[in-house]
Amino acid sequence: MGVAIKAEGLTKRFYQRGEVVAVDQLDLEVMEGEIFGFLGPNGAGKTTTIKMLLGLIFPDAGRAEVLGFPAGAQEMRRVVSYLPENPYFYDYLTGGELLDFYGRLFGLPSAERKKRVDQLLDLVGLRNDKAKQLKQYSKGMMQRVGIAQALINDPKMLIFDEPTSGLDPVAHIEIRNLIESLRDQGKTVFLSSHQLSDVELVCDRICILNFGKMVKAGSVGELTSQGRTEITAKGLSSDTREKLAKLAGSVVEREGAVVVTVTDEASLNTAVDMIRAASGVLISAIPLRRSLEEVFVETIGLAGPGRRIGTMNTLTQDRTA
Amino acid sequence: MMSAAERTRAWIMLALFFLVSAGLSEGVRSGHKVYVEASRPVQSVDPRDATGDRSALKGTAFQTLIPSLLGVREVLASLMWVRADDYFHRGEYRPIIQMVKQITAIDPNQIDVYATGAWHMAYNFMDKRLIADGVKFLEEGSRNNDTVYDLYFELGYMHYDKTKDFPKAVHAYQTAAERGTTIPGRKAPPSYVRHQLAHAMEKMGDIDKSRAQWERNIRLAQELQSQGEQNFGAAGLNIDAAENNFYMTDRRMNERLAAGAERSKNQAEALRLWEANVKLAQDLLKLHPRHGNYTKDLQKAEAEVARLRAGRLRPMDPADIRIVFNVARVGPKKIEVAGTCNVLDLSRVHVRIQDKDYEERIKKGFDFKMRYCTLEYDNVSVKQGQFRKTFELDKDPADMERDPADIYPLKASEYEVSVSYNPRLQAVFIQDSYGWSGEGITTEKSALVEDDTRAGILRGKRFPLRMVSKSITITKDDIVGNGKKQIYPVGRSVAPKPIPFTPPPADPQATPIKPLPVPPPSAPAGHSANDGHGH
Amino acid sequence: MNTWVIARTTFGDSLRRRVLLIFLLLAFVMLTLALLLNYFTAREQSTIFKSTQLVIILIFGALISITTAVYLVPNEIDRRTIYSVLAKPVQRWEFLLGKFLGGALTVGFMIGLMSLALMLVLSILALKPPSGAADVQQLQEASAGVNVKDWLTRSSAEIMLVIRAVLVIYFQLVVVTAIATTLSLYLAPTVNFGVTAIIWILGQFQDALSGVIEDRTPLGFAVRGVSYVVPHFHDFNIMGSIIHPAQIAKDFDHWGYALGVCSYGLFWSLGVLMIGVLVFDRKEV
Repeated sequence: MGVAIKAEGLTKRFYQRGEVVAVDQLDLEVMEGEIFGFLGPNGAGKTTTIKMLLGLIFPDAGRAEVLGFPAGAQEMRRVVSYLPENPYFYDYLTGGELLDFYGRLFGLPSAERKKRVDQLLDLVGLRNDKAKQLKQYSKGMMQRVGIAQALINDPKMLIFDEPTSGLDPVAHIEIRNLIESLRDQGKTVFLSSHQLSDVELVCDRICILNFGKMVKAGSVGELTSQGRTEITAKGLSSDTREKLAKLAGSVVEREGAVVVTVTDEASLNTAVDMIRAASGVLISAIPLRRSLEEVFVETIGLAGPGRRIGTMNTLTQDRTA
Repeated sequence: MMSAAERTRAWIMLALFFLVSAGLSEGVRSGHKVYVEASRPVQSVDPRDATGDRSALKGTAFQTLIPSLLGVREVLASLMWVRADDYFHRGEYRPIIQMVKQITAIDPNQIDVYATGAWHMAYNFMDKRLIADGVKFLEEGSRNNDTVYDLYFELGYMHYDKTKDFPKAVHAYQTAAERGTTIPGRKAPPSYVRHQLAHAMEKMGDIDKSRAQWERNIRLAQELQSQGEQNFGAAGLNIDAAENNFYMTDRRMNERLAAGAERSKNQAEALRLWEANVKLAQDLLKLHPRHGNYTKDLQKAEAEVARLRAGRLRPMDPADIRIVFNVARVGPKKIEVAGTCNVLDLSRVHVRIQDKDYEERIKKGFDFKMRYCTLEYDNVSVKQGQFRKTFELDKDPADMERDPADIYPLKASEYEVSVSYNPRLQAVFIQDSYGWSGEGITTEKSALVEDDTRAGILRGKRFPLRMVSKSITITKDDIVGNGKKQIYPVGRSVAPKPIPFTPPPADPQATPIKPLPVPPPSAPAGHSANDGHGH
Repeated sequence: MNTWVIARTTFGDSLRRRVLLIFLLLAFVMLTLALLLNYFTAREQSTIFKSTQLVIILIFGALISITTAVYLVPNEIDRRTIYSVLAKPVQRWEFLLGKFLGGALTVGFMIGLMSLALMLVLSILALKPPSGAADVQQLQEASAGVNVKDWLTRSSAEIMLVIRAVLVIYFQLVVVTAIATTLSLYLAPTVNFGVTAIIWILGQFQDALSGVIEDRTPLGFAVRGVSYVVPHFHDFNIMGSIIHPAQIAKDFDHWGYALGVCSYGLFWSLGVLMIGVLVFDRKEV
């Protein structure tokens, strides 16, 4: 599997009442064929990074490559597509005309364009609204047509910025299924979203950005896994309980059973051995996981208690504090 | 982002585009100069009217700069013209002259503004001083619109009708005939222009030129018809008019020469000329059998032939024409010029009152001092040898509620009152009695004006213009004083005794001459120029 | 080609701007009002009508072109439609030129509509026979019947005059559109409107510098050099050649000049747009 996105030392500064570093020495690697979640609080630098990858803005330092092309290159944009957050299109056009417009920009021949427009509208469930002007579309319909325009060129990679924003739960599921189907087709999906539940369900790997820096990265499983295991056993002597308590730090009695939580594999093995040696009954050994939300909040809040989630505006305050 | 090579290419293209546009702008610059020169007003005359008010716009930034902005020069002038017309319809005449000069200062190509403005000056306001102003205005307008006939034609008509300066009328009409038109698809001016030219030549006295012009007019009308420049019917009408005038010129030429022959008692020559007229009328009646005027002409010519064959010459002794007149103040600023002039009824004498130095002023050019000039005249008819004209210098002649002092300032200390008789301006039958250039006139030496510069030319022969003119000088006090006063001649009564005269007899029975033998029937022959008519 | 695709979309988008339709409506109202003006001879009527209408077309055309152009790129950025377009394989110069071309097409369409109305009315006015000494001729011709060939000659001449006038007006407005489009990369729309309008108005007064430009002095050459990069709006003002073509005829090549000045406008606009292309290439959106 090749590398879809490779960024090294990517830096972007803005000058807004002083210098603000929006993206700070970002190193990023996204593999082909995966769904990559790109997370961070508001003002963390996500959209800035995406814009640099697309060539809409230009980095002050570092470099990035997308599918082997320099970021923003014309060739890159042929095989990459982008769905911006809260997409806005030429509202006097109908859904069909909009897709046709984007299809022309890719140089698609007329017959193929027509076919693809119908297919995509079918895919996103807007076939009956083909002739309606976009100004008559609901938010959800706009989001769908946005996804459709992102697929017009059958891209190798899609960059989605908040694709499920404003959608109802059913639509959420549909979009998630669509994203997964894209991965199944071998496409890479770069997903920036605040919908952590969706990210947790579909993404293979994620990274979390804060103050322009990557503060955490890894597979969803790795990040949400706490490395802790909850062991439930019964028929243990007090002696064994003490040993377990020493190993785990604490022992909890629950419904006549003893529950201990170990933090690593070695402790897990030791605890199981202890229980078996004490002829106790091992009821269960369950690996404990956190939600992605918890991981996210914990990551962002790591700088200290009472610290607000960083924003572009508070950045300078924090720097001067 | 573009690569370095692409950026270099973009810079090169940028430079190329500006270079090409710079080159094009140089080419456009010379064309623009031509355009600006062509549309720049030529105002050799300071546009001040008789009231002495200076044009508020001449030379100002408003005139030259702002109207150039966005090309609103033409629309500004157009809208001001609409406003001026509004003044006219509401009877507010005073602003019109000022406005037409401002409008033409802004847009010198507004032909109709020049034409109508000059008409207001020369005709509508009935201020004789403005006629010269109107002429200058049209001269300026024709210079500014030199490529088209229109204002040259208007100028010609102004001289023809108002100033009676026929040489200038001819010059203007000639220029008009050589110019183009503003009408798409029409290269030549309307036939009427060339017809007026021929008429003006005749009035000027150059009958030969007039005849030649009518021949040209006929030929041109036929060419225009064949080229389809006019529709067939209209071209046909022009050919007819030109042919008719050509005939009338020949006929009148013969009549003038016949009158001259009778005056010199050359019966044979007079008979030959009237016989030529008979032939002219007969030839035309062959083409237009029921033409009433040609029938009358034929009848008249035949009667004259009969008279001459019977030996009855008219007594054409030189007419001793005397002008005697009184000038009296009949009320404050009311001057009556009454007198006698022993000429045929329906004659007209030109009675005039003006500042004594008016002519010199005019020659120097029209300037603001003209506002202080007084000028008034009229062509007064003579009945039973008597004429009378009262100049009411205390009234607005156009009855426009203007202050009479604006029209007749009476600033000068001396004024010239003159009475003159010009045979060229009289009716045709009077011309034939006295000679169309006054060759049959005599008068006292002091009153005789003989002008070779206005000589008539007929079959190559020159006939200097002979006219009678008398003038006297009166003072300002004579005019503005109260009560009645006999101004001239001093010491005589207000109403001088008329000089008796005997009009020439219509049928000279009293002067029988040996009748001429009846000539043999004339062999059919083609026309020659000497006969006075050739198609 | 992407430029044309973007131009078409821009054209469609611009036509739906309400403010442009208001300008168009106002222009038509003024066209109609001008018909009510009190007229005199046929020539005066044609002169007054043509001059007022062409100035109306010029002024409203300028309003339309500036209003369209100042929003071409900023609207795309504000509404964020630019992201989904530039994320496609569209070169920045294609986008900018496409926006400009769409704006220019909008202006052309609007003044095209106005001039069609003008041509129609002038053709009707041409039914009235000519004036002046031709009044006498006209009386003759009236008795001889209406001359269709004459009317066709006159009305087609009027139409060609309008075409020439509108062509020159259009290319003047193309220059204005190019300036406003390039400035829109730097300036907010309201500021851009004022700046472009001032450049246009000041450009009318270039003739005031003509004396200096002709000088063969260092200052003269310098001013001349500067004059090559500043638009010569005054050169587009040949209204006299349209209203009084017969009187300006001597030594003046009407069509040659018109085509020359239009070409100048086109190349100058392309030059200024290249500046825009170079700027936009580095502009962050």
